Amino acid sequence: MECKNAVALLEAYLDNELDRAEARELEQHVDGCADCRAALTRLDALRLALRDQTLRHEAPAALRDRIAAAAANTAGVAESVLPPAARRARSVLPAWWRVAAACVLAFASGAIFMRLNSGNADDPAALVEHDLFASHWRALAATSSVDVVSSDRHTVKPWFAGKVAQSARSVYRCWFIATASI
Amino acid sequence: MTGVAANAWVGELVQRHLDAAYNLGRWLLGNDHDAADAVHDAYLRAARAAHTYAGGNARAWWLAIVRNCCLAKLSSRSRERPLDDDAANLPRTAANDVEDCVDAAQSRARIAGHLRALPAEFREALVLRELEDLSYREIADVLGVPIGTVMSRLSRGRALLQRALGTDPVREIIDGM
Repeated sequence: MECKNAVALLEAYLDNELDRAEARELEQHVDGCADCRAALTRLDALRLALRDQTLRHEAPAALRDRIAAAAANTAGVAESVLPPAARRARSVLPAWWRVAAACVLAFASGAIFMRLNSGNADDPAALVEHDLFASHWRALAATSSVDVVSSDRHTVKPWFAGKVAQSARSVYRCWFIATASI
Repeated sequence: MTGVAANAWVGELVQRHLDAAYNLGRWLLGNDHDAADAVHDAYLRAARAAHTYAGGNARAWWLAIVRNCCLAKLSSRSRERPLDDDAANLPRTAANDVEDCVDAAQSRARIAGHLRALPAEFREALVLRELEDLSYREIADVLGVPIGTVMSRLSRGRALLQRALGTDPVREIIDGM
């Protein structure tokens, strides 16, 4: 990044308006550029000075009360000026909503039930696929990467224990299938 | 939204962001009385216009109304009326009374003075950004200008403040004591 571009981004950087890649790029430039670093320091000092919360005026309690009173007032008026029909309509509304909500719930639970039963639980290929995918996620989540450099099965097999749900033998099989297909 | 629900919503929104509204009004108008009046007007206007709220950032919507009320007040009040003096323009804090904080109070007074001396368009952008912590997008919504304009106003305002603070000799403060 050139100085000219960096200077234009310094403020956006302090304002937290750069995306991560831009911020990283700017930081790298600032690390190696004394001028930009000085400019950033000056801007940050000004920012800190302005962010002194004692510069912020808090709303006086009287104003807060005044608005709360006005709000209570308009709410009361709005309630009392509603015609009787409108008030009845408001009380009817919840019953109607209950029916609608029941319909939505029935549909949703039906859809979930159908979906759970549509998967073919007896298909062994689907099961292996599912387990393999789950194991892959677990392996990604683990701290160690999925590398074990050994052809000795006494090394390989214990390494797999606890990392995957399949036995090492079936994992080998999957591995062969995977490499063959590539 | 029904009328009652809209009123409750506006009431809640206004109370939640009342400090932000008052602070903006106070920095735009320069005194407590006008700021409180403008915020109260803004509440009434917001309550009437609640049904026109079309989603989006509610705080920006509310602060935009506050700003409009402040601008209306600014144009209506007489131009001859001077701004209050510096001491009256500083928020009251316990720190003001403590001798240890004299230095801090002085630098605060300097910054407040220079911020107040900025043209309103730079001042409001800086107040919204630094004191209210609004994003560029939110400031753009409040001011009704593009984000690029917000960025250039902030940049311009900061440059002016830096220059003012840089040329402000320390001697002046010591002499002023």
